[in-house]
Amino acid sequence: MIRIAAVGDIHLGTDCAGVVRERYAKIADEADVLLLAGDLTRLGTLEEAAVVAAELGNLAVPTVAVLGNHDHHGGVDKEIAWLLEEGGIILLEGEAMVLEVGEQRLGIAGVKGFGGGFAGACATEFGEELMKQFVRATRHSAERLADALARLEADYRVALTHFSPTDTTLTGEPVGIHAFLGSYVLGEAVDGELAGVRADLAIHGHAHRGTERGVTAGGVVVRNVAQPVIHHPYRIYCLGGSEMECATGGGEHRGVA
Amino acid sequence: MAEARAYLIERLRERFATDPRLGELGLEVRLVGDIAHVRGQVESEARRQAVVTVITEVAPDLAVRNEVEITDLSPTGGGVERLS
Repeated sequence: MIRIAAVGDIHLGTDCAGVVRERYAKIADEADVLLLAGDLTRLGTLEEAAVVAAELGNLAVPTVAVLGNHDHHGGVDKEIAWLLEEGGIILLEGEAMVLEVGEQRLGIAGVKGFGGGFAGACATEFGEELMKQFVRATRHSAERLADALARLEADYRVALTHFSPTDTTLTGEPVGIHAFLGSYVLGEAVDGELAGVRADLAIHGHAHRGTERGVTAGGVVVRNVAQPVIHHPYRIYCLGGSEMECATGGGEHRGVA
Repeated sequence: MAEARAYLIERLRERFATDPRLGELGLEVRLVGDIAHVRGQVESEARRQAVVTVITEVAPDLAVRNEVEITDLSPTGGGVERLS
């Protein structure tokens, strides 16, 4: 059994210093890992990133994150990534990692992802160079996610993104902005259509007015953990346990491979 | 006139996103007469109040009905879902 705590879109500002960490004080009793689905900051500044590192780094369980569009707004995303990693947060952008929990291995592949839309209403790599770049950026991100999933040797594989791999978790968002909230190409990666290995669970954020529960076209469970959607510091998803185990038992964290 | 109001709504939404006091992309604005109705969620009371400040700076003639809510910051996690 592996229990995954997840949240996205926490949007910490400098006014959040010293007030967030206590919400995660008991997380080791409830989960084996904390996943952060991007938009950790409000405006993507180094000062905000330092708050994120101080509040969520070096918790009692490993913290694994991807960045979101807000974290890119200040143009210092590489510096933010460095700050977060220095603070004890594992940052994924095309990488894969394995966490050993008891006798089981949890594989996590992460990218920020990008937009482009979903079946019947997608951007196409055609016309102006800027448009082509937009679509290529999403495809490149999806390919990196697919490759990362394919590299994982694990009992369970989780795809962690900021943008959504499905429109089924976007219910509640204006349809006109779906193309800016995710892409079916990310869904193809999650479903194993690009590199042959599918995820068991996809976690994303970004869609503040969306819904928590969805599924990809290929049947992979998707959860939108944007904090305005889940209304809590995190949600917990339990893989491989009985109902009783999931409700009461804690996994034994052994380390990161 | 209708087009001008649509432009104003987007000017407000852009300021909500880029103003350092807010940084919010997800707020919804509707103009009813001379009143701006704003809905959505922010993380703190200061940011909720900043909604009014920003609107007043962009469009001083508008009254504001601030229906923005503060995201639940309960001290515990949000329960367990078993996935099989």
